[in-house]
Amino acid sequence: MNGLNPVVSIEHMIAGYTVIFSVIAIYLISLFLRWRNLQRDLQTLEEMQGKK
Amino acid sequence: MKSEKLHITRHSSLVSFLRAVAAITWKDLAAELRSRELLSSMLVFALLVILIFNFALELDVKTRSTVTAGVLWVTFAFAGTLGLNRSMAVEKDRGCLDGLLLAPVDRSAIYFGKAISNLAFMFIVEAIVLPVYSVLYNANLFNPGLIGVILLGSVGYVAVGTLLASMAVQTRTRDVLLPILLFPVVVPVMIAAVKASSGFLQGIGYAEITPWINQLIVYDVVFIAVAFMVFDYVVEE
Amino acid sequence: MKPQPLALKILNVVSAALFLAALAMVFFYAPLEETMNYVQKIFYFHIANAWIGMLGFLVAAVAGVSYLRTHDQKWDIVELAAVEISLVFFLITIITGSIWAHPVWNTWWTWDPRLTTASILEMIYIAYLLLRQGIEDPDRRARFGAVYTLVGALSVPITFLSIRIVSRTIHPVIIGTASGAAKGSFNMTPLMLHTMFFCLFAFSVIFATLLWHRIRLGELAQKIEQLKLKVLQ
Repeated sequence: MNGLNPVVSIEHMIAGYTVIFSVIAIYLISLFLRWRNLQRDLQTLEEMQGKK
Repeated sequence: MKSEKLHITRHSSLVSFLRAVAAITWKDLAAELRSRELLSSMLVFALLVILIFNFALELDVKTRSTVTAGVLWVTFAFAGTLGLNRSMAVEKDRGCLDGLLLAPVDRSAIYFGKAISNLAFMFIVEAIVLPVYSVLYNANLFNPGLIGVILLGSVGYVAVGTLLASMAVQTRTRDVLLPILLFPVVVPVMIAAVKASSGFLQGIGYAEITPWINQLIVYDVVFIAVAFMVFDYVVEE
Repeated sequence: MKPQPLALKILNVVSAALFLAALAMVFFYAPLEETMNYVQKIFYFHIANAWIGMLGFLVAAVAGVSYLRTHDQKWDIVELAAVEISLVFFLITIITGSIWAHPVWNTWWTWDPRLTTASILEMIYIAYLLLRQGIEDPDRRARFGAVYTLVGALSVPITFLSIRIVSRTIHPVIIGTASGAAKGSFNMTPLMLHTMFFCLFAFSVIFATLLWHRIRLGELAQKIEQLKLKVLQ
């Protein structure tokens, strides 16, 4: 069995790791953004509760 | 809907359970006998699907034998979804579900009653589709093995379908949600049913078909049991 | 909302460190595979991601059953967190699986049991999220979610086994086939094995950390929902 063409192989490897990093990064960012939005909502609600 | 009183005598809970199931099943069947709207829409839909397959696939004599099982089951799956949706929607819209819930009967009786009537509708549609397909494509589908597989597969499909439809009908997205919920989960039935059907139609040895039949039986048993145990949580108020 | 407990902060650091260490092992410690060259290096993270996906699946199933038995909302939060994380990591698994398949088998997709089952599972997860989205009442949402999780958890193993019977798989047999006769399989040398196990370990820790974070997010969301009901009367 011949070995794979190294260039093709490296390209795919880079593609693979790019996907891994990007998806994890996007997920972490989404967690952070959602957290921030919820914190803001919490503040607003607590203010509203304070006024009552 | 006229209020139907469930006459339940309290001498034995199993008997009253079975009576409740029968009452619910009969209510659906009787209603359908009068209006026939559910059956007619399922039937028309099924026939249209077969028609579309005729144009979508090259159904020449040779490929037909390999593809028949798949075409049949896709048809049943789609028509089945239609039936399940309509059946549960009617329940919810007319407020029958609330009425049933007030009755002093185990909730799972509702599940079995609905499931059996859904199964009956599916069987009726299948019983009509088989001869039609046989005629249109000159294929002999009156194969006892095939009919057995259709029975087993439909049971599994309806068992899970009734449970999921009960949930879907209570959401905002309703009709659209049922196939999305149902199809990924009913894959084992589809695989086994198509493999077994195909096996019977092509006259493959029984030994090769048995694992698929077993899988269907296991699936049916598991999911009827699960639905029975879990249905309470789905119709709680 | 309560700030991150110390244990979680430590886990954050440990997870990040393990992730980098795993990367280092993959690129500097593990040898280059003879037939597949560099693309084989995807394998380590691909397997680790699949592993986390499965962990998430198990956690979700257990949480679902626990909710049905106890009706404690915290199980619902755990279940949603586990499903979401499992969804993300199976997505990575599927895509990297496809990227790996392309140069090795010259196809972007193989209908082999593992890849196919992972895809079906993704669809179940998406269906789960859509189901939850269509329900306002938190109690009903939790109940339905748990029921669907249970149904999915039972159905998926059966699906996996039955696809396995169907297809003579072209998915590589991973651990040490001597002849490497199945195309695309490769011999795992000891260094590769070390790397693989380390990656599994590293990602397990990462899974725990992410799950904790996601649960905290869920708790915050629940608190807000309850507060909304009170304040917006």
